[in-house]
Amino acid sequence: MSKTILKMDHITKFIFDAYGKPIRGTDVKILEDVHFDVCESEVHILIGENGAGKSTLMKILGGIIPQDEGTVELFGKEVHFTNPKQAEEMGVGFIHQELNLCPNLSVAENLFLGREITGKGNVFSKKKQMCDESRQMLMRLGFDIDPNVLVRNLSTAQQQIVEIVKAISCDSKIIIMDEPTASLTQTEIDHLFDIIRSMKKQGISIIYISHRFEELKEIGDRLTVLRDGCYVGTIDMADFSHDKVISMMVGRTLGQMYTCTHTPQKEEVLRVEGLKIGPHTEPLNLHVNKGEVVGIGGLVGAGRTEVAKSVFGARKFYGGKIIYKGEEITKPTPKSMIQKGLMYLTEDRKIEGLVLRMNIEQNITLASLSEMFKNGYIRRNEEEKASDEMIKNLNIVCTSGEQLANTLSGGNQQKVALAKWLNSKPMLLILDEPTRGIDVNAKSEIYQIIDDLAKQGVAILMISSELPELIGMSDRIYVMRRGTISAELTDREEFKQETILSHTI
Amino acid sequence: MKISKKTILIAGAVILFLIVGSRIPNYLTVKNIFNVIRQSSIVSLVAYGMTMVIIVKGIDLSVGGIIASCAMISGLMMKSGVSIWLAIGTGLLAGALMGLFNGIMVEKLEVPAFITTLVVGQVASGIALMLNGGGSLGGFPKEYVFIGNGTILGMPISNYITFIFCIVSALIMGRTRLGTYIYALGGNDMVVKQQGISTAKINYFVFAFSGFCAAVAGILLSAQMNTVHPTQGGNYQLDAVAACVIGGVNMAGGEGKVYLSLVGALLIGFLRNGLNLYGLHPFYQNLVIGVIIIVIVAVSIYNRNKKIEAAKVF
Repeated sequence: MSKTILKMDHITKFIFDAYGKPIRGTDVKILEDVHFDVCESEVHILIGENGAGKSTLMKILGGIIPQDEGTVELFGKEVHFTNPKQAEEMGVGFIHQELNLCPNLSVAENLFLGREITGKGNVFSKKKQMCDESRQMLMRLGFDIDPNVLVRNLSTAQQQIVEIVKAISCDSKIIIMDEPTASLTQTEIDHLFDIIRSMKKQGISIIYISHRFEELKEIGDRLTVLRDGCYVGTIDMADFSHDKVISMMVGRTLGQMYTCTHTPQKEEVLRVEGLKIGPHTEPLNLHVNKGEVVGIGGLVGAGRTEVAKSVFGARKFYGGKIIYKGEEITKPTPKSMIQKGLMYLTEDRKIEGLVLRMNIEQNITLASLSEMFKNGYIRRNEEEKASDEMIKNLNIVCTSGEQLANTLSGGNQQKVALAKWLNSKPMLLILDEPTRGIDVNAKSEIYQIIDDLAKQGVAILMISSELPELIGMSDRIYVMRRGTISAELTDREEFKQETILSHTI
Repeated sequence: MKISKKTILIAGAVILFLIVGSRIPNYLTVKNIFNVIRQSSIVSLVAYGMTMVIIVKGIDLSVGGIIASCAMISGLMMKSGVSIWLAIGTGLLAGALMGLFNGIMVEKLEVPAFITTLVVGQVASGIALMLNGGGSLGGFPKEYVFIGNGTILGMPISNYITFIFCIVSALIMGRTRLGTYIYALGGNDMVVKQQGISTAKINYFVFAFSGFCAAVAGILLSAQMNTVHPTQGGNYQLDAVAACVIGGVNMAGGEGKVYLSLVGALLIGFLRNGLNLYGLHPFYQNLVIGVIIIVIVAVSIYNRNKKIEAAKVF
């Protein structure tokens, strides 16, 4: 084995808020005593479920956030990065999942951002030279992209390529690739792998985060699994087997986590026919029954949230028919849909779900405020009663209903967002990624709540990127691809990760 | 040769301008055109700095106050016998410093540009009023008045200043790395920070430059009028924002060209002048110009949204 160039030991990171500061009052750890090492010219795969801590670990390596405990050793020297620039200078290149380019600058300007070639006096940029060198860089890697084009006008795949070229051109010794193939086509993926192989020959190491098993076998040398913020193990790709890695990733049987005791009823609550979520997408059909949990799977960007928002009326309507409780709805608006009992728990609780600077009580009664009023005054004790009941029922961990929403942990925030809708008695509840970014215990509590709701006859449409969650909770699953539904799985026997995945790509 | 829609639009606008212009007496004469550019010089100069500020997702509402106070500082210095160049220099420096203060507030304290510039503008107008007890000041040295009213080779000096500043600003934005950083900061500030580029330097420069441009505009205005009035700035700052918007600067940041903001300023100038020569009562001029600005802005934003919609997959 060649020499180890990176060693990360005992890395621990507490949960943090949007600004990277630890949230007071919680000792939830996103990373706990994690080990990770990389050898020279290897492709090291980092794998784990959503929320396992892969991105956090990589952000620590990339100097974007600091670790709370533990050491990082790079090329035999202990390092403490305080900003990403230092990591970059030490040879760590980071290709982010969400694109990190300036959309309003050209490809060449993006490639040379921060290290422009300047003429005499260090004032004027040599645009032409940068452009020529950019073209050479792109050509050398076999890409035909005009360096003068604005990044905004490139396809997502092309933007990804620009990011890769940028990381390579910075003389990186270790390149972190976070789901680089998520938006690439098969030919582009093949090409990317050729590039990775040639980089390996040049002694560059790659940390590769991906969920696509077939890719991993093709490209990886070693594989490390993280689960719920903990280090599970590292294996050689020679020992790779599907089941082995899955069991390392999951580490618990599905039964413990998910509760699925409800039975769907016959009565139909929602039927959508020929819904178009964009001007150029294929129409889609779906229906949900009373007491049924229907899952919607698919890759991020497949149009799942757009379906939810179209039905809820929070989005431009591109045509189609929505029949809700036997009544055709021509112009859905959030207000009218909420009155009819259709509610939508948004994907991002911090932006769309909660008013972070209001307390729990105010957040919970937000959707049912009209019931809290009498003669134009808000009835404080009604409000308190309603919220206390919810806090008890959903087991929201807090000091009191007066606590501000932004001081809660992710799981409790999500419960508050859910309580907001439950308080106004939904008939149909659309849940968009209901367990994203929350810890395992809160997750299983949320599953319990979903199951209880279904038992009470609430129809549930659950959008999720986590396949075990879809499989564990749903009675039926729709899979989406490129803005339309590509498959409907009705038989619980059919619910396998591979089957769902095959319909998403 | 492929003719783009943009070319057709510009050609159409020019033809319309010529047709309408030919029907208004004395409109399409070199003398009048120079005159209109001279009248637009104040708005143009302010618009250059404003363009940069808007590109970094800010707005500068202090320029009105700076126009008045810097001219007042220079004017008082000249009246007390200081040489005009020293007086002008001090006025310009004061403008740049006020702008720099805006930049520091925005960068270090993360005060929204809207608030800090509004307040600095208030303070600056207060200074302008205070310095001369609320009165206006006039009767400046001949050389000073010459800057505002003289001509070189038949063209007013004001126009030279307007064009030179346009070229300098456009060079900064288009040819230097600083310009690239300014666009980058408006496009995606996370990228800028991750590249280890100091956002402080960018913000300091942009706001200081805007203050400096406003000081140039203020001093030029007082030279043109041979008077400084302590409330002379008010009208120009919103005209400058309008010029930027007409010129296609995106209020959400990241997009815009200095020379197009000049075109925007000239457009307002030519409109005003045309309506004047046409004999429209000044009371109605603001109304007509306002409506035209709204139409231009609405059409351009409508087109931009349509383009975004068309590019969307779903």
